[in-house]
Amino acid sequence: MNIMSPVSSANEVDDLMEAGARELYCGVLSRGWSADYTNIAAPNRREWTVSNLKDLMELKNVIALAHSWKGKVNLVLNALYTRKQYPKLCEFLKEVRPMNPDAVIVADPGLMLLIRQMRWDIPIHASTGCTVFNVRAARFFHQMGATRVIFPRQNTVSEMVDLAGKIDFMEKEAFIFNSGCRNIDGFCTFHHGVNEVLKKDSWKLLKKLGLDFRFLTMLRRLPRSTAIKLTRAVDCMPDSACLLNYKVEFDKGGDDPDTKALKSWLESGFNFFFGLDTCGSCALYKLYHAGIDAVKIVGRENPTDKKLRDIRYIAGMLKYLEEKKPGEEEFKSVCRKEYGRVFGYPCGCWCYYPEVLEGEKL
Amino acid sequence: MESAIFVTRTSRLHHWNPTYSRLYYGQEFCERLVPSEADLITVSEFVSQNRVNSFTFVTPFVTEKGYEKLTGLVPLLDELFPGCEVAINDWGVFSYFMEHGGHPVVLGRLLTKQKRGPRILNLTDKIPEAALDHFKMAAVDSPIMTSFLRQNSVGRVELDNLLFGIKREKQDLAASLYYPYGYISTTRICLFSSWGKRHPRAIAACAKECREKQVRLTHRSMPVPLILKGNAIFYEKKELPEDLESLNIDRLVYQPEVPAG
Repeated sequence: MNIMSPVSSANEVDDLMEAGARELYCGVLSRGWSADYTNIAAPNRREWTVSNLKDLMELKNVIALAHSWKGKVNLVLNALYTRKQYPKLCEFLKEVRPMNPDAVIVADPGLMLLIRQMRWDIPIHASTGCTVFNVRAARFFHQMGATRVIFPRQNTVSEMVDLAGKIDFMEKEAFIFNSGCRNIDGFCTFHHGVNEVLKKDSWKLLKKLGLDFRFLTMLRRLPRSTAIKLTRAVDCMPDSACLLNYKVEFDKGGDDPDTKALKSWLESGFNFFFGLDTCGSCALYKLYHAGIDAVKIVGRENPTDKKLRDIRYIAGMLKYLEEKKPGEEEFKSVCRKEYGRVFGYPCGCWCYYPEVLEGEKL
Repeated sequence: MESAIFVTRTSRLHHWNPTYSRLYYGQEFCERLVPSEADLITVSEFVSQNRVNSFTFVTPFVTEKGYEKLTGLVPLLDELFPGCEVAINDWGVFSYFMEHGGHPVVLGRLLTKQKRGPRILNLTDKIPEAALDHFKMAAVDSPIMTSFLRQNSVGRVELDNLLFGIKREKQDLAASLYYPYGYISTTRICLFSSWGKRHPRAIAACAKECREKQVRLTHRSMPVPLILKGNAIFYEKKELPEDLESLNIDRLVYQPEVPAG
């Protein structure tokens, strides 16, 4: 099972590979593209400048460095493209092709068709944006030219195990760490990158310094109820629309105790705190034994030290799994202990796949 | 211009009136709400009694479990509504109906890929025209996708009435326009069903609480109120585009209620 790590700079590659990544994924947001479309309509779904390589030269360097470690580089092109973007997209693909990336991650069936029309035999990974929740959908994308399916975050582990057993015609990849979006990525049509357009350089600097990540880490050390109260009280205007501090109002009624309690629950679900990084390491046991080929760590925009800690933690757990061959309960227990040791706080309830922790009792 | 009405539950069939020529019935967002056989029979009887000319069966995205449930309904669908149109929101279900045949397929609004986030309204004077035009278009209207759909005998796509306008060309596939509610996002981690559970990310069992509860979400940076119903978020826009014909929109789909739950 490979660890798929985010990369946002050629300077990170050696460290990421040394830490245990076997595959890297990256996007490119060039000046030429952003002149027409800005960051908000980036050619991939991480619409922040800091998440992306700055140009094709940097991509070339990333590929060369990763290949020198016998690693792979998967180029993310998982936006949804409209008519007028296609000429630019074609031009981009023609420039990228001689650089020999190892795969492209694609969500738009139109782009899959285009790549195959170009007779470019590069492996295509069906992005989480393809929303593959059933075998038939996997077969559809396989017929469109995809060689790997990246399961949506919102498949349960038991569903992925079931799908992995049936999908013997493609590689399979699952999310394992960070950014446990509540909405289904491929069906979510909110925009990211709005704050970068509105606040420009100050926002870029905030992201570059990883201040949002560091604020979330601070929150994580607080009791959950305190952290929620704090993020509701301080409207820090996160970029993601799903994390805004919405005021919740019922269309009808709302005065009875049950409705008030539900309102309070719903409001607690809309705040910056929900952007906390989720962990799915307890699920590695089932995913590994189900034959999942790769696990993805999210967070191209994260600071390098965070990326390295995430890879080392997951690589350590995989090594334990492969070498010690523990039972599942033992593995889950070791995961939780190790998580606390590495990150300095308990994993708490921020699970990618909470049903694994709860033994399917949800 | 064809006029349709979309209801998600048999108890809402009373919204039908003869000014509509087509009835949409079914679910887009939740496989747990896929109609039962009894529901289909009820709708079939309603269609006969009310001389509904045309019928579209709306299907959601589905897991393996939902796929079994949905495809298990198809023999009855074939019998009660032979040749009816099916709106598809899952590529696996698309592939199934391509092979099954017998029903014209239209591509549902979960697959037509319009970006709908309302905050674009805050940026209209801050981004280049090319970027704004991009957000007015649907990815499904790219020539390569249009050609793919035509090859598969799909002649219609389902679109939302975007807050910031729609841009299409005459040669695009015929489109239906849903109003007054546009969907923005959906999840399986339903906040209504996870209420009271330990894990906020749980894909929890539910008692279909969404059928009774609907809330408005407001925030100073969101230019319009959002509507959360069940596992989906919507906006409301009542005004229709002026020149529907030039956008190749030839069907309006009215939703009397927010179409989730």
